[in-house]
Amino acid sequence: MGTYLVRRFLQLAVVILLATMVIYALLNAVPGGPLSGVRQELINTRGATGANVASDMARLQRDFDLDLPVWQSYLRWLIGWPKLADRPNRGGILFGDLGDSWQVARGQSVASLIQSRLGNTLLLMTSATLLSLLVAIPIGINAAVRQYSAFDYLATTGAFFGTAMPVFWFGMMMIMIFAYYFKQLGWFYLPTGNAVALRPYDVPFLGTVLPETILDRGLHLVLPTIVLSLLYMAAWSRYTRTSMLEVLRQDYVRTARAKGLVERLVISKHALRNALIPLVTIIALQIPGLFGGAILTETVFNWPGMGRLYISGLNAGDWPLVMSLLFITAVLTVVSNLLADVMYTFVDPRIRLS
Amino acid sequence: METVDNILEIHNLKTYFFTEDGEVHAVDGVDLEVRRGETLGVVGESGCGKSVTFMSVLRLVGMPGRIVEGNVVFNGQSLLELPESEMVQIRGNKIAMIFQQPISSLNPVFKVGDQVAEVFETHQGLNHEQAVQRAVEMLAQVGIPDAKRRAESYPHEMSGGMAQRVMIAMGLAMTPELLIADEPTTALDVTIQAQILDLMRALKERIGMSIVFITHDLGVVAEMADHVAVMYAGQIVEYTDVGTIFREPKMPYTQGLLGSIPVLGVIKDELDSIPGTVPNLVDPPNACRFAPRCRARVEHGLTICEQAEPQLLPVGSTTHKVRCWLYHDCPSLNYVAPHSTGIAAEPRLEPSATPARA
Repeated sequence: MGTYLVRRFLQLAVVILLATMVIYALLNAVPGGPLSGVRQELINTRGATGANVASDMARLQRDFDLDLPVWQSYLRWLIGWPKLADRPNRGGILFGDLGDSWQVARGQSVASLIQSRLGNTLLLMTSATLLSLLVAIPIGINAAVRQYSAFDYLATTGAFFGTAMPVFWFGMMMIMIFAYYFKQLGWFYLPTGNAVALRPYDVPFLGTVLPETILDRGLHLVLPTIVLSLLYMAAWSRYTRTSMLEVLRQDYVRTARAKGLVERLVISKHALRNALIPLVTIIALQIPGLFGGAILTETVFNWPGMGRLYISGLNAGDWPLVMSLLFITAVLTVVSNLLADVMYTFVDPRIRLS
Repeated sequence: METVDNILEIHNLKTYFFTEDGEVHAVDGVDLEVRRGETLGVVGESGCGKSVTFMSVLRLVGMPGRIVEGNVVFNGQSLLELPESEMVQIRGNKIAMIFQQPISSLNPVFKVGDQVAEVFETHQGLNHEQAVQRAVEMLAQVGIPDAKRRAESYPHEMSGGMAQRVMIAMGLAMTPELLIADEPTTALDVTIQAQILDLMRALKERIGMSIVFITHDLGVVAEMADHVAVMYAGQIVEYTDVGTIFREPKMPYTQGLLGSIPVLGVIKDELDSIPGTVPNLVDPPNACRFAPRCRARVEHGLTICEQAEPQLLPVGSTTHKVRCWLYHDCPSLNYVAPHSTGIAAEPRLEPSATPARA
């Protein structure tokens, strides 16, 4: 196990290094260069012939290392080396210096920007993941145990609905029904978006809700969580069903029945324990998502999380921000893959890492 | 007629599988009894319904299979009418079953000791510690060396022979009255096979249980069984004691099976084989299932075999039963058998069946 982990960490380092090269190369390959958006902005505000456009661009290019050879600017972004006297030097992304935002919050460090969004995303993603698992696994088990029953067909149809439903449409429908119409009718209603309210509001049954209380946060969480969960539930209930069907055919399930175990125990102990093993991968690979957020859901619900931060960064051409988020996702993805492999050894005694 | 003490009686058992291609008559009217204290060998080729018959006895046949007709009487109690809550008290307790692939029959994520212990927890209500202790005793009884340590093993860490011993320990934990062994040695190599057979014989003596030994290996039958039932295409085609089956098999299928075994000291260029393949069991006709492959039918020029379904009836002694038109007459079709025993069958007929020309 020890040597295995060492080997895996070395592989992991190589993969991350390759990922940084790809990230850096792709964002530098944007047509017109990384600063094309900034140049357009300068031209729009000052006119195409404005003399200072060229000098401003030159200054910006120097500030962002774009005047250097690519290998040099890449290394300076990656590890903060070589140090140069004529411009600000940084620590390098590998050492945790993510740089400063250019556009989304000009001058603010990417790290503080992420810090302000991470909590919201973790809250949303964790509740959606937990809710989905709690609903999807029992649905999958029941659908498998009663294969081709009315329940199974219902679950299948529901899963197709969940997968096929575009989040931007389904999310807006939910807002329309539960936030808008319900409020119009004077019923209990939910907030349309955001993570917290700005001022107190009245909800039937609950009375006045004060901003930033747990109740306020909870109410704001409901709709985005449901919309996001529907997608996960659809996929995960299918995985569970397939895995369970596979296990129910196994000889050891027959043995458990022949032993005289009641069917409930055969399913919940002998079959389920085996059926959940493949779900380890799914749960582990959900980890990057927990930090990365959900772009569509966060956009529809105006949720101040990482997914929306990423989209605003892309739209604004805020490359340090985008590269940092891509880098973090890459690291989390390879680490959670390793984590999944290690977790397998705990849930499946047949697997030994060597 | 002598009175016999049967621990298990199967009457006209029919288990069908309802598939998209039609009803598969996997078990189609099986009548069988197991006497108390004896070993019954059930022989037949793969897919003849021998396993499904005894899975039906324990009511372990899952969808799309269903027991459509028949009766199973165990110790005077009709198993097919019991509620599931009482059936679970019989499984693994009064009737135990062990299977062909010992390693895949054990749950890969639990220690073998815990899996044996579960039987004690289920049927005796022991707590986990007591149950594990009893399980270790059981494992030692079935000849697993260093049982206490081996109880901590997972199935994949064991050899096939050891895993089958674990299955036997699990099966015999509650000293059942009947053990159904479904090809327990098929997946094992020959020396291990002999060890397992010896073990089963020794434990049978000690516990005094009855055994149903399902196999396609006639050598194993000769060694283990008191009576033998030969199955073909979902039906019993011959039933008699083990001596008779080897000395004077009556049914052409049984004769074919025995002819296909190499005999030590006899030089043959080629072993006999039965021509053709096992019939498709989807909606079978009212005819002899073996007729298309039967040499005796051709030799005697019989047409009845394809018009009427023979019945399992005595020939000679009352304990020797055969399902074959060579031995039984059919008055309704004016048919007299070539080796008539004077016993008449009243079979189900094909619609096209016509009386034989006298």
